[in-house]
Amino acid sequence: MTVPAGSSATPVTGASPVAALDDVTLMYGDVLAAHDITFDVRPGEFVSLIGPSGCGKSSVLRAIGGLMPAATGEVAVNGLSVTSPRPDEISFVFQDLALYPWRSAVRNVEIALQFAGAPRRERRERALDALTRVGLGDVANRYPHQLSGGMRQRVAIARALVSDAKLLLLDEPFAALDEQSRLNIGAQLIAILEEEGKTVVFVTHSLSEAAYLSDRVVVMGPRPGNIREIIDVPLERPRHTSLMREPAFHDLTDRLSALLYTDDEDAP
Amino acid sequence: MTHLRRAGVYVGVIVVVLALWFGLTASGIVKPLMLAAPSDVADILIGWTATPGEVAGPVGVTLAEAGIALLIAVVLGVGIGIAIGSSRLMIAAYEPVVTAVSALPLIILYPVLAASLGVGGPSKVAIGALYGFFPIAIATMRAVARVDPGMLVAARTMGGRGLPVVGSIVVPAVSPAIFASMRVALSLTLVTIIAAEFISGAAGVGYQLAAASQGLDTPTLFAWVVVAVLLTVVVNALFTALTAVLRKGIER
Repeated sequence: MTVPAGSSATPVTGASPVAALDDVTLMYGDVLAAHDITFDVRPGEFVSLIGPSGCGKSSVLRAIGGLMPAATGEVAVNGLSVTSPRPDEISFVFQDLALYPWRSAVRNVEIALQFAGAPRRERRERALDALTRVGLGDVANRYPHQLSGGMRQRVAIARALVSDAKLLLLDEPFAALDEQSRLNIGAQLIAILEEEGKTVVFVTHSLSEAAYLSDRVVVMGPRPGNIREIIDVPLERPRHTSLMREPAFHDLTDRLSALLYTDDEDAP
Repeated sequence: MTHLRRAGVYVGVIVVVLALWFGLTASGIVKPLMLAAPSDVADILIGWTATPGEVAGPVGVTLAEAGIALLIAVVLGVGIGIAIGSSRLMIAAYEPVVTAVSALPLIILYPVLAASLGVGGPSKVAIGALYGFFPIAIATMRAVARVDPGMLVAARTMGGRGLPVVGSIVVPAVSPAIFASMRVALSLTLVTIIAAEFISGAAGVGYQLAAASQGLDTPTLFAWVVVAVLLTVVVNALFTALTAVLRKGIER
């Protein structure tokens, strides 16, 4: 919190956190993946996790989503300890998207409703609505291989938006896209999420993406990861790509990059 | 244009083979007992068109046996394949065993099956199903074990678990591998059943081949060979059509 407090727009401070991690340790078998992880995510907030490869940032995300148990400490979502996936409260978008190639775009979105037990008649309508919100209403019947990378990305996002879950976990979802598309899709995503009052935890290794999209950035150190610093992003919303040419933006990315790349002597 | 040229190549080869066949028999180089003249074979085939039951009966028996055997092989092969492929321990333990057993000449079990089930249809179905089972079970367990774990994790985050995940994700993901293995199983089942009918039995295409062969009725033997070839072509074409329909049903 070293950057002067700015007017980060959406987050409601003072409200009880959507996600809370308290002194969490994560293990892969006998291997320590991350330790001393403590932070909150407030309602409506967009929090990014950045850090070098293998620092455990994806593990932290998986722990929030109930895919990985905390070895010690506690992970809570909406006040309840997370032990398994909670599809009605938490939705995921993965780096590899995990779209089902034999299903059309709309049926890829419907499957979330099918697993959630939504009535058959509702599914098509709600799935089409979610696709329309991400701008894909006209390609609902195409198959993933008939869509561009950016469109597939948005199908995955539509699938995460179609449930009523308020907490969205995104694991490097734009990694496969070029810099320009990733910022464009990121900006679109922000607009949709703000409209729908979603809370987001976003894992990325792109400093500019984290700075451009987030309200706060959690910077993690190299493996086994812990939190170096949590930085407030003092940039006004709505943000435009022109922001990236402004000095305030560069100050921020410089600061993030200094945090990420300095203490190499600390690396194990 | 390419279609025409391809058809031309087929016709050309058929004409050459028929001409060689005719030449060998007409010149007397090969005795009629060894190789029936094409005209004699044609006479028998044409004769059968007047009494189609003579062909339809044995063909029906063989087809029914093969159909039931394949159905058993698919149900057991897919079921057991999914059960083994879903568990890392099970596939590590049983994939080598199943693969090794499938390499045995399982036809050695036919006398045992014939002794316990009789020389009628059931023992033919059993040996046919046994041969059909292995390729399907092996392909299914391997495909299930290789389903992209990301797809399954995503399903978990959406609340999917148990049978709905198997039905909506595992089965469609592995269905191309299963259908490919079913085609192999179909050929093996058909061959095995005809061979079993040939060895012992009183019905089916294999029995007719054995009867003509043992009666030294070479033209009839060749006519049955032609029937068996046509049968295989038709069954394969039907299978292609059937799988297209099945895949549409599964990938929902």
